[in-house]
Order: sequence, then C-alpha cells, then structure tokens
Amino acid sequence: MTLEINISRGSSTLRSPKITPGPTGTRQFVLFQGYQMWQSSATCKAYIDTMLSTLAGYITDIVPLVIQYYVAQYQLWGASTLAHYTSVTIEGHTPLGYCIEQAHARGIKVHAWFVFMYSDAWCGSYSFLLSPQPDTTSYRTADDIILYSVASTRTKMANCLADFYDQNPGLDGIYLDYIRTNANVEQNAADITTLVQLIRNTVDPACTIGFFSLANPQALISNKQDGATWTQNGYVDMTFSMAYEYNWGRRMEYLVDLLSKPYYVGLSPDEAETSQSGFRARMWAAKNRGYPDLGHFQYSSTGIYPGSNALTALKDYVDNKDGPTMGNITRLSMNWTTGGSLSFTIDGVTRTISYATGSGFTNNREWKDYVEGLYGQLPYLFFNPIDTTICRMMYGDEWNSF
Amino acid sequence: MTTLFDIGFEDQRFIPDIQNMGNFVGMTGGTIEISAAAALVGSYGMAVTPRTGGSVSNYSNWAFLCRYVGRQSRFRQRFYFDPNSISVSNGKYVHIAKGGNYSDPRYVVFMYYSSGYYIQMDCYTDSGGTASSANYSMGDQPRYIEVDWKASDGPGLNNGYMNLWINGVHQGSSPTVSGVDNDTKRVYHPQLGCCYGHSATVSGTMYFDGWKANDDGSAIGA
Repeated sequence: MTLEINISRGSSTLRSPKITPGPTGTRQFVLFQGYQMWQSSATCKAYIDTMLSTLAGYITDIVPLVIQYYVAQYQLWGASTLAHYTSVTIEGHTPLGYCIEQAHARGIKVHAWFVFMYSDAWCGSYSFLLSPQPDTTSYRTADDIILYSVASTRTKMANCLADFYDQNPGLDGIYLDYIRTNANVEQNAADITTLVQLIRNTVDPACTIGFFSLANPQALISNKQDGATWTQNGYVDMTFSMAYEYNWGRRMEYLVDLLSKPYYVGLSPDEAETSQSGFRARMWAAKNRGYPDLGHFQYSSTGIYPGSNALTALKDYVDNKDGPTMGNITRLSMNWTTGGSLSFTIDGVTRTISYATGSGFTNNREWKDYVEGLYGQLPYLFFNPIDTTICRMMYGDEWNSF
Repeated sequence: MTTLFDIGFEDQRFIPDIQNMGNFVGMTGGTIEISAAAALVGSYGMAVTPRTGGSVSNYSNWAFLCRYVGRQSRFRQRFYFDPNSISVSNGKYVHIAKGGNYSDPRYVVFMYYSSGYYIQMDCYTDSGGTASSANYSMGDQPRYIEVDWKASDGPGLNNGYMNLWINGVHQGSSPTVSGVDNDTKRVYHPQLGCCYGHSATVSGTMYFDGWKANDDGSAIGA
C-alpha cells in the first residue's frame, strides 16, 4: 500500500473564540442533523439553542451531533450554505463554533460532516477548499466527479480537513460521507484507501474520524470502498452504515463482526419519521438484533424538534432501556409464488396477510408498508429477530444480493 | 468449554436470548412453528413443514432457525431430529443443518431418502469442494444427532474433520470425515431446519428439538 505523507497545509481566517472542552463518555446513539446555516444569525441561534436544549433534556448519554457543513448541489442544502456560514456570527462565534460551545456545555459532542464524491463540495470560491480554482485536474468537469486517482487532489482534500479541524477549536470529529469511487469514472478503491490514510495522517490525531460505509460488504469487490481495511488499520474511528431497517440482515452481522470499531446502523435514512411507533420499533429492532449503536441520519431539520417523533421515541428509548413488551412469534407460515399469503401467530393470535398475483412490490420497503397498512402489526414483528426475514422472504432471489 | 447456545423451545421462543446478535428465522416458504407436537425432549419442539407440493431447492421453501455464534474454528452441536414419516422424493436430499449461508455452508448435514432415511455430511474445503461422509441409516424415529466440525489448523496441514454420532453411536471411521483442507473456514451462522434441498419434493413435517452447541468439541450427549 502506498504511504502518502502530506507536507503542505493551507490556512484560513476562520476562527472561533475559545471553546469549552468536549465531553467524554459512552456512545450509543447518533443524531445526524442537517442544519441550514444560511439563515440569519438570530434564526441560527434560536434553532441551535432549541435543538440542543431539547436533546439535552431527552438524552442522558453522550450524543454526538453532526451539523451539516458542506456545499453540494447534489444534496439538499444547495451551494450557498458555506458562503453564509462565513458571514453569519452568533455571539462572536461562527454558527458551528456557537453550536460546539453550546453542545459541550450540555454534554453533547459535535462532529462536522463532509461530503466527498462531487467537486462542488470542495471547489467553490472558498479559499480553504480545493484551490486554486478552477482546479480541473481534481475533478471531471462534465459531471463534477472528483478524481481520487490524482495525488494532488488527495493532498488538497486532506489539507482541507486538517485546516478545518484546526480552525474550529473544540470540534470533536469529522465524518466522511459519500467517500467511495464512482465506478463509472474511476474504479480503484485503493485510491480511496490512500486518501483516507492520508487524512488520518494529516488531521490532528485528537480528531475522531468517522465514515459512512456502504451497507454491502461486497463494496470492495465492486471497487467502491474498503472500509474493513480503514477500520482495521486505524484510519477511521467510527463506521456509519448506510443500511436501514429494511435491509438489515445477515450481512450486517458480518460487518459488525468484521469491522471491530464503533458501528452505527441507520434508522430511517432520508425522510421525516411520520410515526413514533415506527421509529420506536426500528430502534428496538436494531438493539434486539445486537447492533451496538444506532444512527439517525436525518437529512433535514424536520425530525429533531421538541415533541418530534424522533425525539419522543428517543426519550422512550432512554427512559425504558428494556423497550416495550414484545410479542412472541411462535409460528410463521408462508405460501407464495407470484401471489399467496403470509400468516404468523403472535401471542397465540394468528394473523394472515394475503396478496394477489402481481401485487407489484418492487422492494421490501413497499411490502413492509403494505403489511403495516393492513394490520399495523409490524412493530411486533420488528421486535422479534424474525423481522428482516419477513421482509426478505418476499424476495428469495435477493437472499444473497446485499 | 463454552456453551454457545442451548435451545430447548420450552419457553416457546425460537430464540430465547434475543439480545444476542444476528439470530433469525429464515424462510422462503412453508411453515415453521414451535409446538407441543414437535417435542422430542421436554414439552415443546420445532416443527418444520416445507410448502406442500413445493420443491425444496435454491432459495425455495426454506424454513430454518439460524444462530449467530461468532467465527468458530470448532463447532460441536447436538440436536434431536425426527423425520416423522415426511415424504421426500426418492434419491433426493434435504439439508437439515448447515454451518453458514447458501454460498459458503462450511458443512451440511442432510437427510437423504432412498427407500428409507439416511444421514450424510459434507465438509466444505477452502477450494469450494466437499469431503463427504458415507450415508448412515437413521430410521423413522426420534434420534439425537451429534456433529463435531473442526477447521484445519493451518495452510497445508489439511487436518480439518467432522464426526457424526447418532443416538450416541459414532458413525464410520474416526473421524467420520478426515483430512479436510478447510483452514480458512469458520462457522458463524449455523442453521437448523429445512435449509436447502436438491429439487426435493417434500410433503409432511419434520421435528427438531434440543439444539445445543459448544466451541471446544466436548461431548454433549442426550
């Protein structure tokens, strides 16, 4: 494996006042909060204050909190975020600095979230990102895909992160999102590994580095990313799997077993949770399956506010570690070809779900929603380790596909 | 000795210690049930009924219990099994236990039907081949089956093996299957039930009970 040593570091004028040291403690649940930095100073402050005080009121464990902090036209926040970030101040802090200060005062960690893959997250007019501009050797101009094979690109990206960490005192860590090859452009996962190794060697060792992994352990085979090597060699400290309740399964256990680092599985990826019971079911299903840590990768600000379903469910989780009473499944029966039925016996009561030929389900989630709509019994099923099997058995051909 | 698990179904749960990682019931068709009728020891057991008239084969009509046990280089298990006069097309077999998933089973224990019920084992090698035992008649009564699987100690040593006991009586040579090149294999998702079949047309219900396993090869017995 190639060892890259970074000898060039940039600088920036972004500074925050002295920050309260971050908390230490156990890990258990991560909330990913995409906060919109482009709003006014007063709006930013009010939102951060409300969010953190709410979290602190609900959470007794340490909760790393991620403030969305990048610009990428392919994500939800649009390309103007960072420009506003540099202009908005709250009590002498940048919004991130203010968040760090307030979070630490409440025993909450803050990690910054960076998105890779597309150059517009790195190649805007911002001095501490990839520069000089335009840097057309760093990415493919036709579609903005970053070219990880270019050594200078890797160096610049590592420098960006190192500078960012240094210039935001108190920041507890960074997350590397979407850090994998685009097989249509480049197919060498080793380039990504070299980059991650370089980031580890460049960023201050005190900075926790996490990354988002593909749910599929075959990612290396498909030349996308080699998260196992990253964790085993200590390049990253935490793994966040982009695997959600409808694709938890045996391969996930394989990953948990393999990675040997803190490993967070996802709860509801990109949507505002509409149901407290659904959210609670997912949380306990994950815990019952033995996943060591949970992540709620909320992509918007709609999920975390006082009284939101996510926070209410989280409070339930914190207040009642044992979870709700589980239904006990003693019988499971299935008869299907292109149509058929599923029946299950819970606590002595048998339910039967029939579906017609050509019901048209195209994925497990659609089927789950269908079942939930029929009986509202899915939380019971989720509480039992049978859960993913029920979701799977509609699609026997997919048994080995993820 | 570390007992990896001991499932008797007496609490009428497939998986009594559900906080453990990765346990699940796998199913692509048929019925799997905890019932008094299936009890081979104690008051409850596990009944497995492949879908009537269905062919047990790739992905079709599986119904099994799976345990996650971490990666084991040694895995000794005992389970009670009763074919219960289940109808299996002549010359076909149904996997009733295996040590991994479909693509990498590590070992399989299968019920082979040829004018009677037989037990046979395949031990998978690093190269993807199998070392097979002979088949051993087991009759149509409840039995306890004990299987000891061991990975080879290192590359080129080729000393992996499997042993089989039926009702406490060792079967075949010792080991039953010997000299296996399987040093890279690890059991970590053992399954019990109807795990696979070779296009076997099956009709009826099999009973399983008393599934227990350890990691050092210690005898388990009845």
